[in-house]
Amino acid sequence: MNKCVERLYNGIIKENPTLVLTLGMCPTLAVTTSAINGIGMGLSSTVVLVLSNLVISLLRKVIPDGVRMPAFIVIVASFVTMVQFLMQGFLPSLYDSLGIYIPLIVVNCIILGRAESYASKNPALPSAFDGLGMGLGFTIAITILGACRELLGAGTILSTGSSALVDLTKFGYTPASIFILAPGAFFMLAMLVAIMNRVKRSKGMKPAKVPDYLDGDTDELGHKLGSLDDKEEA
Amino acid sequence: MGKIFKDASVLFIITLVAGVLLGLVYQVTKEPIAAQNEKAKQEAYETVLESADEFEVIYSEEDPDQKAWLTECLSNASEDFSKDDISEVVAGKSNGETVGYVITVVAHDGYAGDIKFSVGVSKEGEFLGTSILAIGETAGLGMRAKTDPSFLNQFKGATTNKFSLVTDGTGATDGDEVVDAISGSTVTSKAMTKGINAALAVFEKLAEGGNN
Repeated sequence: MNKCVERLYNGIIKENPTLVLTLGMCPTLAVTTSAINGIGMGLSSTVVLVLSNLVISLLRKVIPDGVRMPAFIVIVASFVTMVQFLMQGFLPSLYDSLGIYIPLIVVNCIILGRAESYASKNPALPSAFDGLGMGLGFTIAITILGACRELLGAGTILSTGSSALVDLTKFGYTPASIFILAPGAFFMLAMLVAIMNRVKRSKGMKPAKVPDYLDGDTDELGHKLGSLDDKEEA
Repeated sequence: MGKIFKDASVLFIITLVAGVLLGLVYQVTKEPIAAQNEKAKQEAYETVLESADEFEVIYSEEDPDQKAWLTECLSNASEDFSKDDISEVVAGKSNGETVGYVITVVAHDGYAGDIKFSVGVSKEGEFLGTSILAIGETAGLGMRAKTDPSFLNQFKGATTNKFSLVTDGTGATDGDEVVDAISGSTVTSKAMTKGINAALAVFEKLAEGGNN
């Protein structure tokens, strides 16, 4: 059981997929224009992550190494499509608010990344918890990112049009639209990653490392970049 | 040689199982999904044309002849509607009498993809309202077209064949043909106003008797 708790902690703090591993940047930057978008994208990804990690872990001894990537993709894409059909048919109000994010989950490389680096090598229960931890880490990170962008860019948090949880515009705040446009995503993400590094350092963990581009011999740099690419692909 | 066959057959079995499962889920959810889509459409029709109690499709883009007629309506109009498509025209009836039309437009010139919406026009030409079916605009900017009703409310109650959009705040009165753009979302406002004008161009042809 300890292993499962460790996996949750790992996914949410230690190896947070968005702020530490910087995986899945495409949905992170694209959909976080508001807090509710972050929650929706995060939770639907979490469901798919848990299911796909579970199934891939159960099949890890059956799937040959040479065809593992296509096999993982088939499994992930099937889950995404099934979730979409079921939600559309039986939970239409949920589908209305989350529907646009579901097809995006297939291309979220956190899911393929966890399948490759964890679920394909570990037993089913820890794998499912790894998926849950990573999913929650992703949800928390992009919800915070969405909330910050929404607050600065639109002056509200969790706005539904007529009412909002926080509404700064009532106190004379003029929203800076750049934060809900594409550049704002990069600004906020960079700040959050910096904060995360600070938090990690204060807990005695190593912050995320950037390869040294300026000095150091080129072979080593190539090696470092190569290993980064491997991680990205995974 | 043996390895490649083993790998291929395992992958084949996985895709086969996945395919069969997908087919099953598709079969199970097909009916409910169709029913949900129909219900959402009916609800949109009812919001924009309250006086009608039944709706009859009179032009649909799925029929090639009707599609040609709809395209012709737009290409003969005075404004350039090359970025708009009419997907459906529905006659709203009350006790068998046509009381107005619901025209569903897809505007392709939104800021983030297509905007699909239904507009209601009474038989006399009064603009009754707009209901957005699909929109993917930026939250907090273009999305306000959907979340903040004040933009679309400006159109309501006007009897005109063309709305014009202004960005200087002079269109504040509801119910005339001048409307204010959503501040910071001119692209969305333009796309929707043009889509609404496209619907009105089709309505004009309908009032003249359609293609009969």
